[in-house]
Parts: sequence; C-alpha cells; structure tokens
Amino acid sequence: MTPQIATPIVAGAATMSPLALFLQADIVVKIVMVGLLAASVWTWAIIIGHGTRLKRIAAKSAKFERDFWAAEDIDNFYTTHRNNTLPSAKVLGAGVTEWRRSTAGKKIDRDGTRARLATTMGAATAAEVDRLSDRLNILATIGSVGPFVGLFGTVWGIMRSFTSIAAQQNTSLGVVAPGIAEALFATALGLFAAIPAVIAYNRLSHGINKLEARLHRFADGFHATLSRELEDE
Amino acid sequence: MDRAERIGIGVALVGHAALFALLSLSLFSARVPKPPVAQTMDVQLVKDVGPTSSAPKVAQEAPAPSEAPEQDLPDDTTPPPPAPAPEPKPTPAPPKPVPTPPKAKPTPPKPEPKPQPEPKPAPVKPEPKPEKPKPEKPKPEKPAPEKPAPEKPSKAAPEKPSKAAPAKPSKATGLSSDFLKDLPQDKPGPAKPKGSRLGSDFLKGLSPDKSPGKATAPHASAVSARSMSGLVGLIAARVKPCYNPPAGGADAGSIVTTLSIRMNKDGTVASVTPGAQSGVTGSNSAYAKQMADAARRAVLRCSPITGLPPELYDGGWDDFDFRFKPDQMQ
Repeated sequence: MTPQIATPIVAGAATMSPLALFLQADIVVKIVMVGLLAASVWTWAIIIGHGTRLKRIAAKSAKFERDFWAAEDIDNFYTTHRNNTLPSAKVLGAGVTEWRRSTAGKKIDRDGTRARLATTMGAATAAEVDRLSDRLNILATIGSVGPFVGLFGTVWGIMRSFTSIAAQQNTSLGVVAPGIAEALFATALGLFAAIPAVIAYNRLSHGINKLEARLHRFADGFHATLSRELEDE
Repeated sequence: MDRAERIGIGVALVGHAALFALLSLSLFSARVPKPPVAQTMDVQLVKDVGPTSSAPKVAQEAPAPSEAPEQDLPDDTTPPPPAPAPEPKPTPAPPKPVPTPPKAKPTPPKPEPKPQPEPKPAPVKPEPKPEKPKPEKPKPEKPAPEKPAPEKPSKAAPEKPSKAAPAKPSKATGLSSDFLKDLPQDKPGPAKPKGSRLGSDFLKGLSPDKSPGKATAPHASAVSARSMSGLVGLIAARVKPCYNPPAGGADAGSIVTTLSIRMNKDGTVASVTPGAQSGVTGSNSAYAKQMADAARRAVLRCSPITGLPPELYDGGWDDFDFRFKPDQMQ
C-alpha cells in the first residue's frame, strides 16, 4: 500500500508539465484533450489564413475599384482584368456579362436589363461573401462548444479522482490533487481553444461585413453607370 | 485550401508546438515548488543514543512471586500517617481515656474504630513496647501513636487494624524514611528483632535472601530516559519526510497524537496504534481522527526505519510510545 500511495504523490508534485498531465490522464480525458488541441490548431490556422487573406482582399479590392472608376473604357478595363479572382472583379464580370447579353439583341428592354443587372450582380456579391465566410462557422462552433467539451473532460477526470479516493481509502489531498489537476487541464485546453476562436470570429465577421458592404456599394455604383448607359442608347 | 490556409495551418502548428515546449520546459512555471528546500530542520543529536544504560538500577532485586500483598498495603498507606505522629505526641500522657472525650471533634469515625483498636492494640502493644526500649530507647514516647491508629482505620481498609498496629509503631520509631532500605540489608541478622516490632509476617514476602525470582526488568528501565529521548528524536527525524500533512483547519496541527508503535528488529513497523490525543480543542476536534490517521500513515509509510541502534532494541524501540507532533513534522 505504501508505494502505491507514494508514487503518484511524488509524480504529481514534481511534474506539472502538459505532457505529464496528458500522460497521467484517463483515456476519455486524453481524447478530449487531443480533440481540443486539434481544435485550437485549426482555430489558429483559420485565424491566420483567413485573416491575412481578408486583409489582402480588402486592400486589393480598394485598389481595383479605384482603378475601375479611373478607367476610361469599361470594356477595355474588363478585358485586362478578366482573370482576376477578386470579389470586386467577379461582381464586375457578372455585370459586364449580363450587360453584353442584354444589349446583344436589337431591341433593348431597359427596365428588364436593369432588373437583371441588379439581380446578377447581387447574386455575384452574395456568392463572394459566402466564399469568404466559408470557415467562420467553424470558429463559431469551436468558440461556443470548446468550453463545454473541456468541462466534460474535467468532470470525467474529477469523477475518476474521487473514485480513486474511494479505492485507496485515503482522504489526503495528495491522492486527489494530481487527478484534479489533470482534469482541470482539460478545461484549460477548452478555454485555450475557445477564447481565440470567439475573438477571431467576431473580428473576421466584422471584416467580412465591411467587405460585403464595399461590394454592395461597388455593385450599386456599377449598376448606376450601366443604367446611365442604357439611357443614352 | 489555398496558400493562405496552408500557411495558417503551418504557423498554427509551429506555434502550438513552441508553446507546448515552453510549458514542458516549465519556463512559465510560476509554481516553482522550492519552499521545502529552504525550510529549517530540527537537528537531533543522535549521538546521545548511547548503548549504555544509565537508568537507576531499581529492578535488580526482582519482585518475588509471592509478595505478601497485605503487608505492603500498610506500608503504602502508612507514609501519610507519620504526619499525624506529632499530633499524638501531646496526647501520649493521657493514653486511652483522653482520645474519647477531647478528640470528639474530629472523631465522627472514632466510635467505629474504637471497638476494634481497643481489643487489639491492647494485646499488640505490650509486644512492641517492651522491645522498643531495647533497640531504640528514646522512643518510648511514641507508643502512644496507637491513638492515631484508631483514626487511620477510618481512612484505610478494614484489613489494617490487625497490621496497622504493628506498622505504625515502626514509623513511630522514626524508621519511616529508611524503612524500606533497612529491611533488605538488615534481614540476615538483626532483621528479626525489628520484625518483632513490625509484625511477625511483615518480611514474609520480601525474600531478602537472594530471591530466585528473576523477573525481567521493568520495561522502561532497560534504556535510559536520555537514550530514549534521543531515540525518539531519531525516529521522529526518520518519520518526518514521510509525513503528508492532511488538509485541516488552522490549528489542526496542534493536535498531538500518541502512537504506540511496535517494531520488528529489522526496522519494519509491526503495528501502529493511535492512542490518546492532546491539544484537541473545540475548533479542531473535527480533525482529530484525521490527524491520528495521518500520523499513523506517516509511520507506516516509512516502514523500514533504518539506522536505529540495534543494541537499544530490547526495551527501547521494540515497543514504545511516540508523541507525534504535527507542527514539528513539517
């Protein structure tokens, strides 16, 4: 009985490193920890990948729109930027394509053309926004569920600690402490994954909202230009 | 999955690995469990555990098996009586008539004893009196103490009246302090004259002539008190590292548990029985059992207690009481 009691106490007191906490844990708690760690890695991958991409797109869109409004000839501008993957370029491409189709015939239905232009450009905008906010739902899920998963691991680990108290007939804190520490480590991991996820979700969704608003403004401006062109013809 | 996402995953993986490594190397460790190192230690001068016994050799003459219990009783009870001796002195002159009327004040008991002493002292006294004059003449005054005799019976058991009579005279003669010493020494020769004074069967059980009863010496006297305290200090030092203080209230550490420990010769602990506890107050009484358990566990956990002097095993650390003071064990 003596060594059984002594060893976990010594180990628990001496080593508080994450690896030791992980290795001491129950299998269920281990699974929870691995899952939460993976969630944390994924969260940060999304934060870094989407954050940089969103920033880059916002900057390039601003430049693209500036260039567009400064351009003399829309057709010429469009042909040079045909292969551009920017959301603004996509919206522009949708508008130009619809314009060309609507004005290809001899008789032009102005109201119908306006409505179609608005619809296609709105659809293109929505599609681009969808593409941008693709991974945000993952951040939202991790942010809201992570703490609960960690809590589950903690509850499981503490249940196990109390079971070991009952088994060893020993009430001293030394028997319980390592188990509780490793159990609480699960909650810590859950929070570790969830807090950045929540912050990043709010920040990225704000950035995407801004980009969406910019796309709408661009689409509206282009639509107004095309409407004016319809008046002239 | 475009380039940005791949970069993101790569950076996230590297960052987590770095954080994990930092935590594993405990670079962030604010916990640093160093305090134990700086703690001062009680130093027990274990050298004092001497192999020689300095205990008073009280037990050399082993108590014989057939010790006469009845005769010892008067001896034990008589030591108090010497004090009353001075009182009787004034009274000696009026031997028997006086006690009844004048001492009527303290003598609610007297009515009872009187009937007994009167018949018995009468025959007994004649014996001691004639003899006393011979060995120690100045003390004829004290025969009077027979009057205390009536008083003492009230305190003592009813057995005494028969023996009380002989015993008291002995003290009356001034032997009270040396009484025990004289007995064994003088017995060979002169013991009998005294014996006559003390009662014929007084020496019966003492068997002064090299009693065959070689009873084992009393437990505590085998190892001197000083050695024993050193030994206990040594054991306390051995047990200290094994003590894992339980979570308790503020003053739970002041509960001192007396453990009676029995050990084998190889240092393993045969049994530990928590006994009396001191320092239990109203505020920490809830932890009393817990502290007793913790003390017991500490001793058991250290079970092979090594380094104890083997020559002190018998009567020393084979079976002893250990006062476990949690405050000094941390």
